[in-house]
Amino acid sequence: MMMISSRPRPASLFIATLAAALLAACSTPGTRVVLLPQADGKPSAVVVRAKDGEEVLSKPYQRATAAVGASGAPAVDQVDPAKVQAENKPLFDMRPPPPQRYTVYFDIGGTTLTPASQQIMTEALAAALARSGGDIVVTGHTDTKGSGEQNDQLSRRRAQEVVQLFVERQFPANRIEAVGRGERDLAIPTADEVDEPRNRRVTIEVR
Amino acid sequence: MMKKLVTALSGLAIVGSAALAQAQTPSTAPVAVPAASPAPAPAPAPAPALAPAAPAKADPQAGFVKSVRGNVQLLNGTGATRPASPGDALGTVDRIVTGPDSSASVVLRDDTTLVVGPSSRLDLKEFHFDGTTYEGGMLVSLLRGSMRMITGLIGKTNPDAVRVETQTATIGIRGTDFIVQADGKP
Repeated sequence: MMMISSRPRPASLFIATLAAALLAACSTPGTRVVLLPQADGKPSAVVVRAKDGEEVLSKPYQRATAAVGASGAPAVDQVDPAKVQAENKPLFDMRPPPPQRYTVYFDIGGTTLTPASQQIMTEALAAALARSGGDIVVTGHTDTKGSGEQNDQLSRRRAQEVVQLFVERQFPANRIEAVGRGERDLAIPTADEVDEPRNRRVTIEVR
Repeated sequence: MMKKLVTALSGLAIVGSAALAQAQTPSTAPVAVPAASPAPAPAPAPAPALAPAAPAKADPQAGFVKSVRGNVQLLNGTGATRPASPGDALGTVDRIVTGPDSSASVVLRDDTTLVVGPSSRLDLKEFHFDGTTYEGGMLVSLLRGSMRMITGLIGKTNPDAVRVETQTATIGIRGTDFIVQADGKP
């Protein structure tokens, strides 16, 4: 029952280096915020506001400290990644594994999954059952034929059909959600009113 | 509170649109005149005949507990306590309390990941998310202890709608992975 999922991921290493800085801050009562690097290496930032001012953290391992009773903006310094990680080990160890994503397609004009897609359903189900506290988001998509509103409904119906398949295979119904994204996430970008089978799909996120 | 406001607003909106629909009814015929004429009047958008009053979906959960180590309790809005286990649903207003040497992780519906460190109290004060539009918002309050947040879809769509607060600071995000530590009364 007390399952802990830990997954090796490239980002973990990077982040591990960061952990040391947080501990040092513990002597000051208040709030400390440390920005961690993005897994994909893209820039990111947090804005930390204290009573009388704010600071932006935009470099990994920058730390803002808003001490109790202090005036002015939070104090910013750079922390030692290794220390941050050592000090906050559970925050790194307990991060759930990244979601797994699958895509299934329907037979033309029908509500039956293609044979290949049925195999994918089996894989997705196994993955969801293997995860600690696994849940599934099933998202329907359409091509650009028809109105946006109709496509929202159509995509939601397709998603619900796939949800039903998971539920029939004993996945807990309260841990699976059907969503219709309509034509908002085209796999193959097209103009409006274009019939494109590769856009008529259902994506499954197992997390 | 925000939620009440939203509820109240949507209530108003429903009332408003009903009123609008009524107001329009008599004028329907005159409005539907020559398509060519550059409708000078405040031509009201044709109210969909059967505007279904916002299908009041049952409030879905905010997310699910993914992993638990040690002693972790969940408290809902009424103060009822339950021990947390992987797979448990987290309500849109819920508190996570971890004991010493205990920790937990949660993934919210928009893929936001929260990891709560030992001896911590974290309140999810507000959470709403529309899976179709990816619009939403959340308010997380770290009363004491530590947390890590890896923001999800709301952070991409409405970064300003992701708010994290402690007793001495508030944090705004811009597509982010970060840690917060807060000292406070247990």
